[in-house]
Amino acid sequence: MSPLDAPPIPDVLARPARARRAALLAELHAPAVRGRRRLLPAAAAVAALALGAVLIPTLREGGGETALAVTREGNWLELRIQDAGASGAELTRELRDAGVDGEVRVIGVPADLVGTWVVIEEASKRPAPSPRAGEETVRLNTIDFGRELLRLPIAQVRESDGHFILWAGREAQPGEDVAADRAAFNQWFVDRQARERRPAP
Amino acid sequence: MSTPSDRDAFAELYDELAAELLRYLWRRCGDRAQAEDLLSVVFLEAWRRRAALRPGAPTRPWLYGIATNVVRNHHRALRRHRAALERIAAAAGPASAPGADEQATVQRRLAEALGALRALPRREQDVVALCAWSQLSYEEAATALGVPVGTVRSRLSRARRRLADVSAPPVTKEPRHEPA
Repeated sequence: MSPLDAPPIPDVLARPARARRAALLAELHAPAVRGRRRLLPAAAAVAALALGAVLIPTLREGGGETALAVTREGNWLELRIQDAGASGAELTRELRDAGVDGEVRVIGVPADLVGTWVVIEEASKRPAPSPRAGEETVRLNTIDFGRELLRLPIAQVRESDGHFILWAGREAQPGEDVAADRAAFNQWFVDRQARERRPAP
Repeated sequence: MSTPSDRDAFAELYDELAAELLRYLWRRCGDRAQAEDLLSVVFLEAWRRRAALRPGAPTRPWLYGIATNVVRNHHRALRRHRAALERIAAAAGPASAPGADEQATVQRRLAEALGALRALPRREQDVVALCAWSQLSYEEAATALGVPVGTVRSRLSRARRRLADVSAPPVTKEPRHEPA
């Protein structure tokens, strides 16, 4: 047999155990693994929720006519953008009206990302080890980050010693040059952050 | 996202691709039990990274890409998802071992094939396992590995040459007989 030929595996042996399927799918309900200094897959994100005094019971149920829907679902706080044309100030005000002291910023994105969360970061308030390193990122992958639905664990919101930074995608303005697709946008954003963190010569 | 439709989509993805990914992982690591754990890790990692998958992008090469990374860093991947794997194992009960004799034969053949594969540089191992063993197209392999299609072609070509050299019968020289 040539090494280029796949070593044969009969069908009966290549069938994953049925019981593991259900157990695995049950795990997909759980939040992602905890870890430090870990960026979300889509890249990074920035905005400031100083989440020290979170008034969870005052959260609005559903979205109504608001630009931002903030709901509590079990142990999660869910954030959904309802008005892709809303300004950062408006989204931030609604976030704060809902009892969360924070900020949402908007940024020009490719068409398929308009009205979605594009970058998320929870940054430590502790000073970075060096000016080039920027703020230390903490517990980021405990956030359940979806393009349309962002879910923050309420325990993390309450206990956070850092701040969340949330960027929402908006339509490009006339003449504004935006990335062609998500991958290009992520790279552009990471480069942009690196430039901003670089100390002035 | 964590909507029911996302989880349903993942269940469908699992039903569609789990068997071929298990084959791929088994061939890469050489051990079926470990391949089952790695398969779970691939789907846990895919779930964790799902926001990075562009709408409409093909999922098969994306999952193979994750599987390839999991194989490369399997110690770290298993450690990262240890708690989830323990819960999965506990919920699934004792592992079954279908066809012990047949499995032993497969393991022996796999060990031989892996011996030849592992003589290649790591990047060439990946393209052989993806293109030759798992029948991914060059384009799919390029997506899985995050490299241009031309790179896949050249790596596979180099791997073929190396493997041909290894598998060819040894060349021996006849003793030269000088005319009397």
